[in-house]
Amino acid sequence: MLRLTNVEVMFNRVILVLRGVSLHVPPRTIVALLGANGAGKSTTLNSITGLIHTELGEVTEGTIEFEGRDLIRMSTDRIAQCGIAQVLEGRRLFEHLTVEENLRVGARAKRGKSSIKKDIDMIYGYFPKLRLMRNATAGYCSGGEQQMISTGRALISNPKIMLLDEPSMGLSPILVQEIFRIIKNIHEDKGTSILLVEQNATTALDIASYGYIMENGRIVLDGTQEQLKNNEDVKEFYMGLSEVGKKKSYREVKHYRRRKRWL
Amino acid sequence: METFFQTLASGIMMGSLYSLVGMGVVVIYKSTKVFNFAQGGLVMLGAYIAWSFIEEVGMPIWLALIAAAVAGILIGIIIERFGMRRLVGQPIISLIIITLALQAFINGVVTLFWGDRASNAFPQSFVPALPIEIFGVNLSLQQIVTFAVSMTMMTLFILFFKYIKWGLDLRAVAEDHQAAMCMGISTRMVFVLAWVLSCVLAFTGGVLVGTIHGVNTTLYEIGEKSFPVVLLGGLESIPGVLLAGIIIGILEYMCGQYLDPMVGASTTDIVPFVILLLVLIVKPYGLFGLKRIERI
Repeated sequence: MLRLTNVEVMFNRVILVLRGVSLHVPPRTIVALLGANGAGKSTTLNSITGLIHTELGEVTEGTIEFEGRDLIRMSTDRIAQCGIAQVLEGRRLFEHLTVEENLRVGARAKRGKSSIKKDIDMIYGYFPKLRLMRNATAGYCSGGEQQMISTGRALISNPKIMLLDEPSMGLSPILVQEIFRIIKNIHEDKGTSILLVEQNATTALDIASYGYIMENGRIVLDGTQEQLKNNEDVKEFYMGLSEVGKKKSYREVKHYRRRKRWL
Repeated sequence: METFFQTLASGIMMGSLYSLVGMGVVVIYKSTKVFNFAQGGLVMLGAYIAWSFIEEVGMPIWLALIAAAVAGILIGIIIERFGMRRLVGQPIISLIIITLALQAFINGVVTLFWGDRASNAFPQSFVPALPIEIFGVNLSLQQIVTFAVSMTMMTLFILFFKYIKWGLDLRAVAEDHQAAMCMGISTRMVFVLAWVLSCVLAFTGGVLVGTIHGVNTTLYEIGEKSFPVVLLGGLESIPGVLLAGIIIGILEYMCGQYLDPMVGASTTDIVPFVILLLVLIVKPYGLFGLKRIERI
């Protein structure tokens, strides 16, 4: 469905940020893209939706295809109308608009003919809390509520695929669980594909069926949920476990092994 | 006491015109964060174009007004396409300087094409200067028409931003360009829309002010009057600019009536700015400005 082949992204014509990223999101699946800060996860998402152009970046090599269409030369708003909804890192609400107005803006890229009112009701179905605060100014909502608005705003356009950029950022573990449960519900109800960018590998791999791990602008490892969860390196570096179930002690790790490089 | 109410009423009528012109600045600022210094020039240009359509082309008045509105739409598109678009993404100050250049350019164009015909007036039949008495206050029909048109435009714009999806697009783009693009909103179309709306507002203002003061090359000064109005109102708020326009209008007429004879010189251009500075000390966001929301 969504396929990136050997994508290279350069900023300002000198800084090479992605060095040949290939990944594939099949229909009706959740795929996780994991990695540390600065690995290039967000850039990967922004290159799919064309947002890198607003940051003086461009795709210099490779192809990005969505249902057979080449996305590289399309503008961000056209890409959104194709059914790709991105939830930006850090939520990025329209702060002075009310909760419901945020949702109504999200419905601008809507596919299909259902009425806006029904769509908004559907969002309130997934996030009942939002119904109570529909007329509140979005900027004054709490972090968890803002993440719900942001996810709802993307979901309301009934996208074929959602690109979620760190939905767990800045949220308490309980809220993270709640958000992920809702994401999984949405996926199961509507069959929406999800490309999930996360630092929180454990939680992400709980709901994703396939995962990619990025480092320094490259995909260094990929595999199914099972494979990644049982991979010794992933366990050690992304989940903080040495043996299954045991807390990791850094005393046992030789300093030169602490930061593993695959390439 | 009668003079007081007379001055008050005239001030409100004039103030509504400042609000109308100021609203053009607000619409552009809201969506693109560019402060349009050329608003006064656009007002003047609108007045001249409408005047030419009536007097020189000989159109009936209703057709001339529609033609002027169409001209406003076209000029909005042209300004956005050739003046602004290439610079989107550059520091916002470059765009603001472009609007200053635009002001100079419009002044030049007006002098070039219409300069030799000094101080024209719209034909009297357009809006007759009939005196009308309301509650013992004498007003001209022109003033009342100005007030009514301004208020109608204001109401339409408030409803537009609240309920029409394009209005919502404008507000969304004002908040976050990237997020708005991800929602499938074309920022380019929104910028065009903002300039078109602003030009139509300016042209409406131009026709109105032209009927009162006549069409001449000093009309751009109303743009300068609208700057304190916009700042006082809080830059982004339409109710704010409405209230601020009327406050400034009243102040101006009151100063002209009571302060000038005491000082022995014209204070009408100074006092609005003094009041503006005082208000900004107490309320730096203006009367109705959007407060910046920051999470800590």
